[in-house]
Amino acid sequence: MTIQKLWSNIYIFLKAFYDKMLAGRKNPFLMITHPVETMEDLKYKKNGSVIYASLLLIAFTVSAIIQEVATGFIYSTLRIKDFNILVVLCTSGLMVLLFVIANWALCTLLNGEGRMVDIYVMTCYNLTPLIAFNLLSTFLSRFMISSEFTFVSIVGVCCNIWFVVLMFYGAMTIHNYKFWGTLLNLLASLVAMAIIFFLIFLFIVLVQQLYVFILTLYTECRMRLLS
Amino acid sequence: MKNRFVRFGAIFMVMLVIASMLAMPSSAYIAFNTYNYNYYGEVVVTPSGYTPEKVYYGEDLGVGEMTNAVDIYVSPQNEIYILDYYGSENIARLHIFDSNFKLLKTLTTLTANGHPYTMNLPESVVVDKYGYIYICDTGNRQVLKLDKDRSGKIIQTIGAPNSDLFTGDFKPTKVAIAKNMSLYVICAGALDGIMEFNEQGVFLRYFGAPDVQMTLADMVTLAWRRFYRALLGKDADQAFVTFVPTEFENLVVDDYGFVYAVIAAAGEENTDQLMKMNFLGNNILDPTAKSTKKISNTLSRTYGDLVRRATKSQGNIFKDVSVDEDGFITMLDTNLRKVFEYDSEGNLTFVYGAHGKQQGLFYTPVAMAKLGKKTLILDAYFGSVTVYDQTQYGRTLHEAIILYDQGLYEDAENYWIEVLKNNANCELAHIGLGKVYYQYGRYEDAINHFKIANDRFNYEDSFSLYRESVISQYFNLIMTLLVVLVVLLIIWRVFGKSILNFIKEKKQGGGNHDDTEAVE
Repeated sequence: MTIQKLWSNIYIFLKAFYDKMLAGRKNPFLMITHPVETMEDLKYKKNGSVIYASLLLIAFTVSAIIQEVATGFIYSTLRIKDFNILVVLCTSGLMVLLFVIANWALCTLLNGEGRMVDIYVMTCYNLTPLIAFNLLSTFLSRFMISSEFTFVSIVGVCCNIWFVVLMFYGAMTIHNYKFWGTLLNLLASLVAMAIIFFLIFLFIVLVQQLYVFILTLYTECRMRLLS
Repeated sequence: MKNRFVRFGAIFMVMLVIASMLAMPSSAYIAFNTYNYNYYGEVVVTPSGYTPEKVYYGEDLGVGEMTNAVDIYVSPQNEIYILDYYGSENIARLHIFDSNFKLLKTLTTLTANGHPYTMNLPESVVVDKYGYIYICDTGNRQVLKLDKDRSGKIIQTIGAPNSDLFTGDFKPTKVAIAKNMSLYVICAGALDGIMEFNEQGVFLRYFGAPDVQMTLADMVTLAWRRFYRALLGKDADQAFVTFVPTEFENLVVDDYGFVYAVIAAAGEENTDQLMKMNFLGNNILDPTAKSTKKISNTLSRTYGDLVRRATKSQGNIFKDVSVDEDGFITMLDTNLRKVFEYDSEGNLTFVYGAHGKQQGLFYTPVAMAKLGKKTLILDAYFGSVTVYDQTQYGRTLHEAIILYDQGLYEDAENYWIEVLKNNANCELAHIGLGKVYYQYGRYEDAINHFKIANDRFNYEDSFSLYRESVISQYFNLIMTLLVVLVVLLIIWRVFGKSILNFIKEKKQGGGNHDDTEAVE
């Protein structure tokens, strides 16, 4: 009886969540079949969903982790004891966030129209081909030998090209740029990502030194005042 | 009463002695770990392949104290030749022993054309298949050939060659003799490679100079030098360092005429410290063809320790190389005092020995030779020869590798299983056993062994065949299911609608009938 009640409560909650947050929002899978239309809806109807986008980002990160861990023996030299989840996070999920920040920072300088939410939603909606390829290649790598895997690599190249085209069109629509403007925006975003990365690194090093300095000061004071 | 105590005491003592004798280890404690490297370049400790058997000091050998030993060589007739300098004047002596270390002869003064001849700081000695002795008389700048009757009569001298190819000082340090009587000489300061002389002592050629290995910084310097040369002409070169090949430290020739040479390579980011050269001087130790490939190509090409050390003084310095009748190559590292043994493909089999003054360790090793399967190491500090003998494990591994190299994979199976019983981490054994199972058609076992040994190349071969066998096993089932599915689909496509209609009609008819009944 109570279990039935629990299930019904969960159902009611999910239903309410869906109605409030997701109903009427753009389904990210429409990006596969109707990219142009979806992109323009995101821009003009503002019906993109941050929740869908975040789910896709999580899916992308998880798929990257799965690819790292579960790729077949022939294609991976990783031992599970050498696996570092932080490295995978930094190269997948955090990289997307870094791109969003860099692109937003640049578009304010280069007269782009996009808001940060728009950029985030657009980028995450575009991740679908990458997620699909990560999972597909991981699955196939477990029972394919390297001569057959060439076809999978070709699919991988296609997926990457598709992703770049989607990003290009997305940035063009969101920021209302022309062709060269978009190219400049995307390339500059990459440079900005590098700069942000450098600044974060610098910040960490400086904080570490500050910490050591304060610690030394504290130790020195304690030794001199208490002894 | 007292007697009884005494008797009990005596019995107790006897039992104690017997117990302690039983508890004594069957072999002496070995003061070093024998190890190997795995696929990732990490140290893996293995059972000992060689253990110190006996140490012969100069007094034991009957030649007095050897204060300054230089070289040891085992001739094809299994006689041991030791070269040392005696006393404060450094008088060179050549001791000849039989294979049981019984002194046969000591040569101090030689005779050249009836006149006495003294050697001046000779550095190496070799003997050919007929028994002629060749000595690198480094101080006198020539190579001596002595008569085979051990009388010390010099029958030929090879001095600085009269050739346009040769420039500079002829200072022979190491010498090797091939079966076809060509003489290979390493000359101090000669950067063009190994010098080859024919039987008459005529200089033929240089060969086998190793490639110049450059770091990124060196390449930048080189590009900078090219830039300056373009501006200023040839004079600009004087301001820059020149990049020359590394000198060989030592060499040995096997029965098939392959020349094995080592480079010292201390602490530098060097690869190919060991080279097995064919007649053309090309290195035929192929890192892509050997069984135990490492995770990176650089690691596959590196001989000696794979773990890079921080300072130069902690790196390998190879001074001697020798090869036994089965093609196992042994290198002596005089800096870390270790011996590295490779098989003929270049797979590491054992690293043994360590630095120390204890018996069985090395303090100042200078030279090494193989007497059958035994390793003789000449220690200059003690003036001693340490004999290392193979253990049962080492013998089994060697036997397995020999059969494997001959392609007799199936004969090697029991040896590999025996090796794995002693050392489950032996990658070579896993690869060997994998190949055996591959030949038998037991692909599942084969892929398991290749997976443990991280051999992706052979894994793929076995895996594709294993996959085929699995597919053919379940082919009937899969095809039957597919056919049934297709037939069902066709039935659905053809009769589906009429069946649905039929069901609907029946339901509606039945429903009506029920209703009417209820009404009635």
